[in-house]
Amino acid sequence: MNSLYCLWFGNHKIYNMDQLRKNFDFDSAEMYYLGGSLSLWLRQCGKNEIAEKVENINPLSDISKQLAEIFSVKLPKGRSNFPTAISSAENSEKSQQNKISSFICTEICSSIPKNISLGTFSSKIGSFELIPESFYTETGPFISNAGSFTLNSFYALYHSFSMFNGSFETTSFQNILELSSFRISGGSFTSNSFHLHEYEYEYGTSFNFSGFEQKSFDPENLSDIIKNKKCSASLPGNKNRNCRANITQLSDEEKIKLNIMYCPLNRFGYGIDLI
Amino acid sequence: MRGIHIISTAPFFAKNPNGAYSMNKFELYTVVLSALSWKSLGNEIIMASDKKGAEYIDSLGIRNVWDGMENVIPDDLEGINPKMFWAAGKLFALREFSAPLAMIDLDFILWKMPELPVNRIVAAHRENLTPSVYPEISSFKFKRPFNTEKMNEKVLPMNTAFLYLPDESFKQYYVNRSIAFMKSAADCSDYLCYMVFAEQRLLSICAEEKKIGSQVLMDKDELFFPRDDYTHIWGAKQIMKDNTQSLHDFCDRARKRIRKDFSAYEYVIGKIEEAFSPF
Repeated sequence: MNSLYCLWFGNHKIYNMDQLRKNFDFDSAEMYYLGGSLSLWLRQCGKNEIAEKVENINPLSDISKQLAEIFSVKLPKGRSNFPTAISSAENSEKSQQNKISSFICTEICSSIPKNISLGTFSSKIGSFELIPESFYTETGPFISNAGSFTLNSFYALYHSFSMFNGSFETTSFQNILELSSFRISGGSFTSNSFHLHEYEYEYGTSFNFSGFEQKSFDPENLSDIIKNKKCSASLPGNKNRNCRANITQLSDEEKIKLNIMYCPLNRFGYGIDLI
Repeated sequence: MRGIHIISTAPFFAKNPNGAYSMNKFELYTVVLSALSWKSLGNEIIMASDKKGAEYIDSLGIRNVWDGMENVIPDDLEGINPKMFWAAGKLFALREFSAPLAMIDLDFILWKMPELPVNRIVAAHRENLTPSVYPEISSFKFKRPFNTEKMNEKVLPMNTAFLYLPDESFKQYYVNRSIAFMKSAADCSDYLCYMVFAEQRLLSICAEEKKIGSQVLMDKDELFFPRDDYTHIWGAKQIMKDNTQSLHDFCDRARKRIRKDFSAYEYVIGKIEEAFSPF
């Protein structure tokens, strides 16, 4: 099914066996072996016997050594490539290093170090302002009872986002992984963009957008925007929409709001109104 | 231009060993519209899948939406962890189809034909190097050696909801490097950073390294502006899973669109509805 192709060994393009042996590079050879296309390339070159040997490599033994033998090249001292056991617990432990287990704000906080990773963020009193920086909560829940937040961008990776009072304002809200719940019981939530990573939807979580719906995007505010702007002709491929504002005259914020007015689902993807 | 849709069921069965694979109704309408719109622009569309995916499409009776269906994705993903690398099937499918080709996500619809140059790759849009999604490369752990030296950490990843690859040699380089990364990565519970590195960041790194030009369909900072060219359902999938009204509204619009613009495929509506009928 594949058309002819060359291998890339470092900066060298490899079209035949002579070039391969002359420019042999273990990293590249191992990559093409693991990627599955080395034997295909060999067959493309008419080297079926060698291709068969490559297909019979034992991936649980030292790949470097086996490739050196197959291609008759010298194995550099200390070179080896075979799987070692790294437990997932060990890997997770390493990724959790240098993270703060909890951050409790009980009075006015005007700044914290940027890119801080928290186990739990709990704000009960006061305001929290971090305009020029980003805020990440990577391992624990984000709970706010009476805080006022103004953030340039907010990234939530795990667990829940709960806000009971106060206001939360950010130009960009991103939830990256498995946010188990999103809840706003009181206060306001304002974000120019609200982005939840696609992955989250692959595996599913649940959200409560009641507060978000009411506070963030008010269609009534848009009516004036649309009235005051010239309308352009209907768009090709979207004949059921008669009139759309000439968006070149809108601010970025107005464009986003208008887009969501076309279709509320545009908040979570784009061009969904075109269907 | 040949386009490929991809269904890989390994991630589903990793989570539901005894389950029966299926797609949601809105997902089916979206992928049908994606295929039909791509074809209406003068292109070919192939469904690449594994065995279970092909069986599912056949069971629905909508195989004719595609110009062909190829069972090219290994059911076991050649030993790659399907939970960590839930999009690995896309890389295996890319490996098997000749360039030039365009890979189109099932939830991505092109309403207009983009410019597809003969010497530049084209992706949906670039992505910011958000540290929580794209951490430092040195943070990755491996169970077998994988060379990350000399990788340019500054190049922006490219979103591959749409990916056009014009050159077979570069396609093989990127795909092999990505699969090698997935086979070399240590098992862990990170279900995002490793995957998007393998698929999206490595693409940009490989292109920059091999001096392959690239361009995107959309400016990343204007994705959520009104547009008339591309649809990406993206996060709205979960909304429709959670909200029945959103689901019904969307499916109603999709049915109308099929009847209006792709009337020869109106039978597909009946097939999809039948699959979700309780009787």
